[in-house]
Amino acid sequence: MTEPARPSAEMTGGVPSREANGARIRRRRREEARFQLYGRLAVLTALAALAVLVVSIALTARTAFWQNRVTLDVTLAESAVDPSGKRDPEEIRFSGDVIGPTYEALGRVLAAGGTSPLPQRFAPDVEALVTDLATTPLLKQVVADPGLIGKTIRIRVPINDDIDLYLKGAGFKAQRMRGDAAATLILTAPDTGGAAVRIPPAPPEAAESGEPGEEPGEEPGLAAGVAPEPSAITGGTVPDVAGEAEGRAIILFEGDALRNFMGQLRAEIAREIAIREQETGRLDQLVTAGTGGGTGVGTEAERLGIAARIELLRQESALLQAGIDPAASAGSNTLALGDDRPSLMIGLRGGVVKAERVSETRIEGIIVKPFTDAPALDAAVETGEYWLLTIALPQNQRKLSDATIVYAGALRDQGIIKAGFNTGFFTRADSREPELAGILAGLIGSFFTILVCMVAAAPLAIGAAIYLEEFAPKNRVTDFIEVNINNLAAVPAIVYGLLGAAVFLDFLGRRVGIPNLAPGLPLVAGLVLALRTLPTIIIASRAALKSVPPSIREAALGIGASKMQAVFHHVLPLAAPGVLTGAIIGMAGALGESAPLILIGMQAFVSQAPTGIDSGATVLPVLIYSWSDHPERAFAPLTSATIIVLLVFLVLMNGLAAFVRRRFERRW
Amino acid sequence: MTAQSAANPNSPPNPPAGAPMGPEVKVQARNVNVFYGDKQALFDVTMDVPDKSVTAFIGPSGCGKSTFLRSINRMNDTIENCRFTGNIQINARDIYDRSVDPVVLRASVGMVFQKPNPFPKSIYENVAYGPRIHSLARTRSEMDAIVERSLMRAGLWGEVKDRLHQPGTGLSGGQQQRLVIARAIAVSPEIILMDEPCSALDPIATTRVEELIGDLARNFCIIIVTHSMAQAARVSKRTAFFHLGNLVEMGPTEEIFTNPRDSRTQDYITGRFG
Repeated sequence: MTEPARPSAEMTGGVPSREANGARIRRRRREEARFQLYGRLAVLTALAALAVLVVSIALTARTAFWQNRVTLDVTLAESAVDPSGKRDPEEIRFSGDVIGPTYEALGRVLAAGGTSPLPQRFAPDVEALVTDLATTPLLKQVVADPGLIGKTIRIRVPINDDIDLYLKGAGFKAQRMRGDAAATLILTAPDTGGAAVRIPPAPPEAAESGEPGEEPGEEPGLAAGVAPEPSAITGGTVPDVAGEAEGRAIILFEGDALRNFMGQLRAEIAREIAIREQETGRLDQLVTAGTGGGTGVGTEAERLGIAARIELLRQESALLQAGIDPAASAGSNTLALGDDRPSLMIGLRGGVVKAERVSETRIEGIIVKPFTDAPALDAAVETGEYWLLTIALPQNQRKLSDATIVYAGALRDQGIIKAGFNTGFFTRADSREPELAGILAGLIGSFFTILVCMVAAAPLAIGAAIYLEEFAPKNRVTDFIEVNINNLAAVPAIVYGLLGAAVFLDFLGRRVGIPNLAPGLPLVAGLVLALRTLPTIIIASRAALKSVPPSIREAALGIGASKMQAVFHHVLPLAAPGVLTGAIIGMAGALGESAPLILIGMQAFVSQAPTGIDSGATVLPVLIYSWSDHPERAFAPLTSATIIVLLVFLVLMNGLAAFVRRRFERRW
Repeated sequence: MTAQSAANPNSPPNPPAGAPMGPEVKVQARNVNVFYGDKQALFDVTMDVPDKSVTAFIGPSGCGKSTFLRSINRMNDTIENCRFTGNIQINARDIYDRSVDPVVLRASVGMVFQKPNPFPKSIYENVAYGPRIHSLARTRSEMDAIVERSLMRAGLWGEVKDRLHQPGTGLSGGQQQRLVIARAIAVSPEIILMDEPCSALDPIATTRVEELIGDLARNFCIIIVTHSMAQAARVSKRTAFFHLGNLVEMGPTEEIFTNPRDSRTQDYITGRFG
């Protein structure tokens, strides 16, 4: 550690004192330590950002890689699939109905073993389990082989994305717990109140799980359904499960089995009353201030409006009050559970009842799923084992009806709905139904696009780099070119999209009339990305060529090799790892590019995998962009899963670049 | 062992610098001026280089000796902004004539550089590359013969004959330099230019290369640029002293070192500058 010559001031004073030197060295060490600390902090920050990115994407994506599917034996009735009986494939293709038989099969499975058929009014809730698009392959199968009509075929189709998400535990929470208070079941005639009879004694209740909304007993599973007005999903083809009007049931508990549920319900209603009273008070004040000539409300009309609002709030409060007021509800503590209240369902004897009126000890409701072991009307019997399912989110605030949730749970308990690896994610193209959407079109589209990009850009860029670096004279013109190549590399990608749209699509495609230059084709996308990638590869290749020591060129020239021989026999092979690395990194950049491709029509909805560079396609980043914008919630995990796939490809390409560099790099 | 012959006291009487030397003149330079851009690096250099002997160029750094050397095989052509005027003849033929292809010229005027620069290929490929691009061998066995002969003449055969297909870059510095010489003589040049061939070598390797130079002088016209006056004295028959782009004087090595006519030469060889 020799010090450089010191400034004259100290030199003239002779040798600097030991102390001064020591202090200075200590300060220098501190500076170095501080600098290293900054470096470590910077690295840690970058790593933390990377970790957060990967973890958050992985967490969102984790549910996308598996999927719940239902396995059904569908009987392809001629009356539905081919009503005319002509076995005409075209006719079957356009008017054949395979979703009807599918729903019928679903209904049959759900009612299997039941003592009564599935209530007709829940047909839409059954149909919500599977979308008709999911049966398109079945229809194709029938079109291809009309001999299947009249036969029973086993199909396995993805279930609707919302119910799939629910079964995966994403979205709203449902809590299921085993009931342990003894209870009694009484079937009642439709629309009768049903008399309550209390029967056997038993140990007191004890909720299996305490915290609502927390893991313990919480399980998206079985449930009983409420009957909403069949609104969301109206299926014309309701399975013919014939039956009388829906049955009703009363369940009586030994002890306050529903104390927790009722407590929360009452608290919620009390909160709503409090909010209304507060608002009423505020409006009252406003009116008082206004009539007092103060700063408050101005016109008569406004005052009237406020008065009406206050009146409305008071009425609402009174209604709510009546709901939780024992005196007002026939002295029975019973509350009505509408669509705007949490759902409560009880499963027993193979069936499910959705509560419509509840008290601490009593549920009165509608039978959503028929019992397999039903007692006679009005007879009080022991329930046997039962479970309670509560969903805090009111039915009118979610897409899934209680009945659909009950059916999905029942099917899963029966093993008819099973979760498996979501192969469709990789083997299907885009779809408007998330459960049927896959990335195949993007994957193949990206492949073709990068292929075109590489074929177009790599030879051109490498050739340009060799010429500029090895042959071109160094003068103002080449300096100008060099500066502008660097500028091009810094031009925002979207500008290349505009350029591509103007040159390839508008000029060459439309005016000149080259047929394969149309929006949304990998050919055009590849050419645009080639423009985008050219400067990158040129710069990387030039750097690689420059790094070959001049002695190699001299050696070759010195024994009489021509310049071209020197370059192609010696310089280029030595530069090849760097050139290849540049090309691969450039391709990786192109693979992740989305903005310019959106401008040339790659954001189209592509429901079939492209077959070549001239068939409509999308690419992975654009697919990510499209899906991230999609209102369907189930597209969120798909988006993240696609990001993961893209990242995997990028990491692979960068890994390949590193490998090429390591493996083929020569030392001299 | 034969390096001493370089400083042969029986060399013929020295003609004045630049004067013609009769039939054995190999390289004849007249009024050579070389410019790098605006800067003139050589001023009116005129000299004759005899065949089948070693001629040394000495002089302080930047004196133009390397520039002149590189003019002889037109390596300066590869440098941007480098301009040449004057006349250089090899075998009485103007090498700057339009009809002369510098690439062909360089095949007959080999060059060895300061730093050993073997190709990052096998030893065999290093030597075979020149003959291959000039189509000197028609068959594999002919090529093998050329490679063997070249390596032998470079005194390297015994050391590498069992590992011809290992990388040339794996050899020691001195071996690499001899490999590079073998590569240069594989294309049967008439002249070998050496630009400080030993400055990157240790003394033992230097000795071996100097011996080699002495041997090669029997068959080739060798011109060597060196910073080491001892080396010039050991290996060369004639020595040229350059200073600030001028050829100050040229003559038999012994005379230059013992009885220089120019005071600048005197100063340089006695170590007063440079």
